[in-house]
Formats: sequence, structure tokens, C-alpha cells
Amino acid sequence: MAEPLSTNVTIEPCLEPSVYEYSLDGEKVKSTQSMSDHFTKILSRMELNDLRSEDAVVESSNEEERRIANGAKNTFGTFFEQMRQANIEVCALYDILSLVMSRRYFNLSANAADMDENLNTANPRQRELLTRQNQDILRKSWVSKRTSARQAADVLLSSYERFMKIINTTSGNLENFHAQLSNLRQRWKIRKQANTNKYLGDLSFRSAGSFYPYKMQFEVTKADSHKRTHTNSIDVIIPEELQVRVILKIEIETKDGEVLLRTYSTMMANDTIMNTNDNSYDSILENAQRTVFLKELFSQLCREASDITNIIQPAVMRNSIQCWILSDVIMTISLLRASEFDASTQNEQTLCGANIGLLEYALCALLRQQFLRNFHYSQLKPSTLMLGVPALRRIAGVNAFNYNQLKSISENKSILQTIIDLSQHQVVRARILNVLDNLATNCDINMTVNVSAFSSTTSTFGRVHIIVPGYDLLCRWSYMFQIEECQVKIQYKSHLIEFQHHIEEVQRFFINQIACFKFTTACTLAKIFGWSIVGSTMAPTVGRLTEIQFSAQLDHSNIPTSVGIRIGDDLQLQVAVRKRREQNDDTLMDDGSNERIGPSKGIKYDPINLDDYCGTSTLQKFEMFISGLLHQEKQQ
Amino acid sequence: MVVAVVIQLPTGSYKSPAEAAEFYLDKLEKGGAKKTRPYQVDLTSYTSLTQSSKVVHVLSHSEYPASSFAFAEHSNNQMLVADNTFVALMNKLKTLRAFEIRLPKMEVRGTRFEYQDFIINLGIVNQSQTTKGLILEVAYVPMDETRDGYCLIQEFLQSFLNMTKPMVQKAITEQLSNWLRSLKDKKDVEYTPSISLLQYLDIFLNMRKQPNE
Amino acid sequence: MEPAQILITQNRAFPSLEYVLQGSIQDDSVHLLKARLQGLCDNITGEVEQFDDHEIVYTLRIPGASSVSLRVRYAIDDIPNPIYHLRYVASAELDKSQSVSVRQFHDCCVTKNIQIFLQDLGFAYDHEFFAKGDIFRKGRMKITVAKISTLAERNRSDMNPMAMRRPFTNSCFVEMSLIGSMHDDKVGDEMKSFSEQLKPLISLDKIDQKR
Repeated sequence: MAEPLSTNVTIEPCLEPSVYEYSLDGEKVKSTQSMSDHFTKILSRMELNDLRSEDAVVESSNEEERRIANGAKNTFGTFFEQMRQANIEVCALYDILSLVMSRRYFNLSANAADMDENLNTANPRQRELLTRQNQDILRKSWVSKRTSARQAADVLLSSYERFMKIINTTSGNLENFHAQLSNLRQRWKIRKQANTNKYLGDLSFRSAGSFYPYKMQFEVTKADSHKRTHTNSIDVIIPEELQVRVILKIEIETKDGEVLLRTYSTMMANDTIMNTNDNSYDSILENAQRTVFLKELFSQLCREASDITNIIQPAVMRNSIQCWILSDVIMTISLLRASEFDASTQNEQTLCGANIGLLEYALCALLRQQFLRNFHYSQLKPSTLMLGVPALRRIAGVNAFNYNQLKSISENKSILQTIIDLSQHQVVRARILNVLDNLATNCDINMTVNVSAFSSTTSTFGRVHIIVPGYDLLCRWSYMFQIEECQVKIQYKSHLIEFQHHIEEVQRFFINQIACFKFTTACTLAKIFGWSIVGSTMAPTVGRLTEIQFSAQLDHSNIPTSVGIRIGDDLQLQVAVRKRREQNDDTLMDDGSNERIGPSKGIKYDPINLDDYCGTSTLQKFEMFISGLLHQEKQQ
Repeated sequence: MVVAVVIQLPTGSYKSPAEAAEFYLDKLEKGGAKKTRPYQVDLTSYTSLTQSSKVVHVLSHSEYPASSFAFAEHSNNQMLVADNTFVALMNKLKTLRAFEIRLPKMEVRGTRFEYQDFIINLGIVNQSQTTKGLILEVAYVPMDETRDGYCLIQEFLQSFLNMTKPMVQKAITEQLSNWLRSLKDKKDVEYTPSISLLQYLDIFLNMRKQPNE
Repeated sequence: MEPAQILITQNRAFPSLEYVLQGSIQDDSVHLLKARLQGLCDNITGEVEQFDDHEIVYTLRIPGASSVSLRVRYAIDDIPNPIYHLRYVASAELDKSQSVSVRQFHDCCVTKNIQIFLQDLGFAYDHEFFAKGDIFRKGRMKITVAKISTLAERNRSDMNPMAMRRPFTNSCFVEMSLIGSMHDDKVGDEMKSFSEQLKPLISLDKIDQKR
């Protein structure tokens, strides 16, 4: 039980054998010296060395001395152990002496050598007298030794009890300022100021590499007697600025007020914001440190905001930073006091898509990166290298880095820039996936979107496959898309198209592709049934994104009717028929606009409502329709 | 990373190297090369006072601002590449009377151009106030294979500066031709920036030997 | 100014003074010192940084002047391409007013062929040693606790290099150093006050290099 307490008190470990007086947080305790010294004095008074029967004790006390001399891991541990050992030994000695005194089991005999000497030198009578005298003297000495031993045992027992008391207090049985202070010291670095009897601790992240110039000391005092409770005899005084609870809120909104993300962070592991009732010193300190963290993070962001030379510079208000991450999306990062924070607006649905734990982790990681940069931390191999030089810079000279490489070393992305980049990408990605999702649900073909697992926070890869269910052998198109930060690239067939910032363009592109795909499948299907494409307008190019219209005229050698198909923006396949003139050709000859099939001009087509045909998809209905035509013809 | 050819440009037909430089600059700019920043190469030679006047050449190049290149004369060793603080160390040795600067310093000052994948450095060589000649470095950046890079640079010189193939072949330094030969023998020999600096050193030492005009 | 340009100018005005305090501690109490340092020093990565270096000293005898030594050091565990660190360390100026020893210092990183290069320049092999231990950082200060060992036999490549090491003494060498630009009393005081905190365990002092 001595072991876990080892860290409570810090006394110079190697000095332990020579500690004559130590102060337990300011209160001088002489116990170490007085007890052990007292004990050795008592032992020496007992003249144990004279007696063979007590050799064991002497040896063990020698051992004990050796143990003291060696110095052990910690003061309390060893001292406690020594006390216990000594107590056991003295108790055993005391028991032996008691047994001897009762003269039942043991007989005392003087040192054999002395006796022999005496016996040899005197006559028998004198010898008898001497023996009796000897026995008398022995008895007297034993009585005195017995009392001495009891004294020693008492001293040990009392100190043992005293230590037990201290130990028990630390486990919460008794109120004790020092015990709680030592408890606190296991978690915070607290130093006693030399002259003032004050206990000061530091809440800053300076030892981790923070350069935040802000006074963040707290003081530990004894609690006022009336405030003292059963478990709490300690009071912490923290600077006023840190007593408030602050919350970092991040909002991403579009210009029209649509909330894309609204989340907050308190840096609490369990995101309880309003747990203000908990007044234990530990939670006060933890809270203060969270406040420090958020304040430092926010001030860092503010500083960086002025350095960013974006198209629109981020605006720093009193407690918020606003920056445009896309042309129509604004991100607001604000630091709110708990009192300003309206919890009621933070209902479940507005916390869209943000995992609070993840956010906190990311923020911590960002700030830590900054700290490491402050120190330019890099391993020193060999150890003589200078501190504070970035690792790459170190090898730059030897590896003859050129100008551009050197430039890239000294370039660092600031925290705010990273946040902006990330959120930009997130928004763009969410929008693109949303577009694809909408398209997939609204068109009656099968559209699969796979997002690659190799996607990172600023780049996303994926594939889009489109097929018609049931006709997947007929036609199968696939696209690769890549979203790098806010740039979208789509690869299809052998083209690579880049889109920048314009989600609508991507949407147009896919609508176009789907229309083209539907049109192509319909034509292919018709070809299988023996139809031939007489004329078509296929404009599947990106150049004409604004106008989507594919149309074709299908003829069959056995059937005197022509079928016109058309597909437009609405992605609905329109079918129309007209009787083919027998003396054909002239349709093609006399008017070029004939090719352009449409109800507006040229030849009149009769529209067919595909819903009259049965089938699960438009394509199936279309199949029914053209095969129906063939069937009619055959019957005729 | 880079393959570079360093040559001394003929200035015979012009009144002065400065005029020749003007001509070449004009040619490069008309050809579409973009001026980027100044360019500079320095050579300082330290003569040993302890060992029968052994010479150590220390070079620095503005393209590799963090590095110094050192070469001990009459040794078969490769070039020593070090931080640019190496100069300070040599100067320290100089004050300790281990070395002295007996030979004049040489420097190239000029302009750096970029043209697509090529980097062109053109500058005038000075040896303590006297102009010694004109130097041209053409580097092909995206290449590791010296041989192909060398061919491309050769073509570049031919088309850009109207140099004939034999002219180019005559102009290249011994260092580079040594390198090309070793490349022929065994396949994978990497080109390092120190080879560029060795080419400079060759030209500098040749120029030093020439009498001042 | 452009970043690369800044870098060049930074290096030209390179700090060239080293402030040093040295001491030694017995092997069996070194763990106490390490524990203490770990508590006092900056804890950036959360673990103690270790090193294992090999240093070779080359000396050039200059007729009519004192000889010059250059130290080449590299980390054995820095594979595959160790950084070779070349240092010139002058003997310490034992100025009474300074609380720490101050010595002139020049360093640079060089390529692997430095050893042959130095020999070409007339430098002769002097001695070599291994240093293995821990590094602690406290602000600008660097504290190394190292076990120094020599090579039992030189020029024998057939043996395992680790087996050839023979420790010099049964104590560890402790050095607190800081590289600064000019004479600055503050630096000395800063170092001295930190060394005070290690006092009962080890007393770091300025040591006369002429041994």
C-alpha cells in the first residue's frame, strides 16, 4: 500500500539518508531524524552486541542501516517500510524478553567466554556466589533492556500510526490540505513560491510549445473553514478571465441562409456544456485549461486571418471570424461565453454532419502542429546539431536543394488556411454528391456512385456507373471523378474535364450524359430489332451544355412508319410516329430541317404515350412499343 | 533532378563581353524565355599553408542558396557538398593561419531565365574587376537521365542560340564529357548538382590561366 | 524579401558562440538525474530523445601556431543517410565575469566524403569516441547525458561495432549547451539558474578544457 503513494511528495531521492528535517509543504517535520535516531539510541543503550542470543536482531539492524545507506525509491515508501521492519523486530525482541522473564522456557546465561574466565579464576564458593551475582546482574540488565525495547516499540508504533493517518487521509477518509495538494500535484505542476508560502500552478501549454503570451497562473489555498467540506479542503484561485466557460462555435451557411453546418466545441471529452454545478477544484482547473486552449486557438486564428490574402480577406469581429469559403458560402467561427450561448438553437437537426469529438480532435491536432512548428521540433541526429532548425532545412545544404525546394520548406499553411481548405472541400464534396444523389433518385436508370476509400480530407475520388436495369449488357457507361480541394475533374472515355466552383456545370454535365446515355440505349435497342437510324442530332458535347436535346429518326425496312425519338432536359424519352411516304427520299432532299425532329416545324409526327405500354422502365416500354409495331406489321 | 550544361560562350565577334551578353540576352528574350531573378556563382580558392600549397576551391551558386561546394585540387575525390556556413569555417581556418587566399576570387553575375522546362543562366565572369568572358548554363529540369537531358539541351542550344552541333560539342567541359562517357559505360549514374559546379570550376580555372586582355 | 532570400541572409549571420556547462555523474545515479531532467525539461513529443553518435577528431598541425582540430560527428542510428556534422570548437574563454564557459563555434553539415576531404587537406586522424545517451531540451538549452566509450581496436571492420566499444569511465558525461550569437550575460544566468535546480545530484560547471 505504500507504493501508489510514492509520487505524492517530492523530496530529493538521493538525499534521503541525510534528511534530518523535511518540510511537508511548508510544515516542518522532524520525524525522520528524531525517530530513527531515537531508535538507534535506544538500541545502542540495549548493548545488544554483547549477547549472542540477539545476534539476529543486530544483523537485521545492520541490514537496515545498509538499506538506509543505499537510498531507495522514495521517502515515504522506504521510511514506512523501515518503520514496519523495525517495529516487527522490536516486537519480536520484546516477546523474547518477556518469555525469558517468565523463566519458563528460556534460561539466561551470561556470555560463555566470560563465565569460563570467571570460573577458572575463582574457588568453588566464590564461583557459586559469582554465578548468583551474575544472574542477578543479568536479570537487572534484562529488565532495563526490556523497558528500552518497549520504548522503542512505542516510538515505532506511534510513528506508524501517524503515517497511517496521513495515508488514510489521502484516500479520502479525513480532510487534509496537504494530502489533497499532493493529489493535485499528480495532475498539475504546482510550485511553492519561495518566500510567500503560496502554491502556484501554470495552466498554459508552454511546456508543449505554446508561445501564447498570457498569464495563466492559478493559486492553491486552504479552503476557508466554513466552506470546508468533507471531501474538499482545498481551494483554487484562477484568473478571472478563465473563470468563464467558453464555447467555440462554427457555422457554415450559404448566402440564402441555408445552414450547411453548425457545430460547437467546448473541448470537453463528454460534451456537457452546462455542467456548472460541479465545483470541485479538479473540474474548475480542467475547465480553465479548456478555456485557455480555446482562447489560444481563437487568438491564433485571428492573427492568421489578417495574414490571409484571399480574394476576400476574412473579417475579424469582436469575437468572431467570418470568411467566404465559396462564392456563396460563408463560414463563421465565433468564441462565445457560455452565457451567450443559446443551447435551445442547438437542436439535433442543425448539428448537421459534425462529429463533435472529431472536431475537437482535429482542433487539438492543428494547434499541436503549431506548437511543434514554434519549436521547429526535429530529432537531433547527431546530437551536436543546433536546436530549432527544421529537419528539411538541415539536409538542404548537403543535398543541394535548389531555390524552389528551399522556398517550399519555409512555406507553412496556417491553421485558419487549413480549416478553410478543409471546409471548402467538404462543402464542394457534399454538394457534388448531393447532385449525383438527386440525379440518381430522379432518373429511372440505375446510377451508382462509389466514393473511393483512398479519399482524404482535401481530395475525394470516386466513380459513377450508369446502366439501365435489365439492359446492363446493352450499354454501360462509367465516369471517374476527382475533387481536389474545390476543383472538380471528371474523366469519361478519354476526356478530362475540369470544373471550378460551379456545381451547376457538373449537374448540367451529368444531365447531359444521362440524356445521351438514354438516347444511345434506345437507339441500340432499336437497332437490335432491325431498325436503322436514318438521321440523328447528337450533340453530346460539353460545349453545348446549355441545350440538351438528342433526337433521331428510326426506320425499318418492313414497316412504312418512321419513329422519332427525342430526349430533352427533363430526361424523358419522347416517341412519335409518322407514316412514311412511299416515294420517300424527298423528305430528306427538300428540307434540311427535316432531320430536326420536333413538333414545331417540318413533318408532323404523332406523339405516342409510352405509358400506354406496359413495362417497368421507359426503355422496356419503348421496347414493347417498337416490337409492337413489328408485330402489327407482321400480322398485316 | 536536373541536368545542366555549362559552357563558355564565344565573344570574339563582339567588342566586349558585355556587348555579347546584351546580344544573347536579347536573343533569349525574343525567343520567349522569361526573366526571373539575378544569378550568381562565386569561386574562392584557399591555398594551404601547411601542405605544399594545396588548393581548396569553394564555390557557391545562387540556384542552391543553402549549399557550398568544396573541391580539393589534385585529388580524385568527389566534391564535398556542405551548408553555406562552410565558407565561415574556411575563413576561420584562414584566421588561424592554416590557409590563405592567394588566387584571385572569381564571380559570375547575370540573369536567370526560364523557358518551359529549361532554366537558362547567363552571366559575365569577373576576376577582381577584369571581365574574363561569358558563361551560359542550360539546365533541363524534369530529367534524371543525363543522356537524354543532354541531347535536349544540345537541341535547345542549336535552335535557340544558333550554335552548331560541333560548336556545342567543342564547348562542353571535360567534366561533362567524362560524365557522359561514364554514363555510356554503366547505365545508372545520377546527375548531381556538384557536376554542374565542377563544370563551372573547369571553366573558371581555364579563364584564370588566360592572360587579361 | 523572399523566403529563400531570408534563409540565405540568416545563414550568413550565423551565431558562432557556444555557452557550455559540463559535469559528470556516476552510472548508478544517472537514472535519478534523467528522471529529474525529464520533469524539468520541455516535453514536446512525450518521450525522451535518444542518440548514439560517433565522433572522429582530425587535427591539422600548423607550423608556428597552435594546431586546429575539426570534429566530424554522425549518428550511428541515422540510417540510411546520416548527416555528417563538421564542427570547429575553439578552446573556452575562461572569462571570470562569465558564469559559464563560452567558446567560439563553427559548424556545418557536410556530405559523407568529409573524412577523405579533411585528410586531403592535411588533417590527421587524432582520436575518436562514441557517445550514447539522452537529449533534453529546455527552451534554447540542450542538455545531453551521454556515456562516452572508445573503440577497443581501430581499423578492424570484421567485428561488430557495438562489441568493440569500451566505456571510458563508469560515469556519464553531462553537458548543457546553448548556441548564441554574442556575449550575453543573460544566457549564462539562465543556464546557471537551471543547473542550480540539478544541484544536489550534479554540479555543472565551467571546466577548463586544457586537460
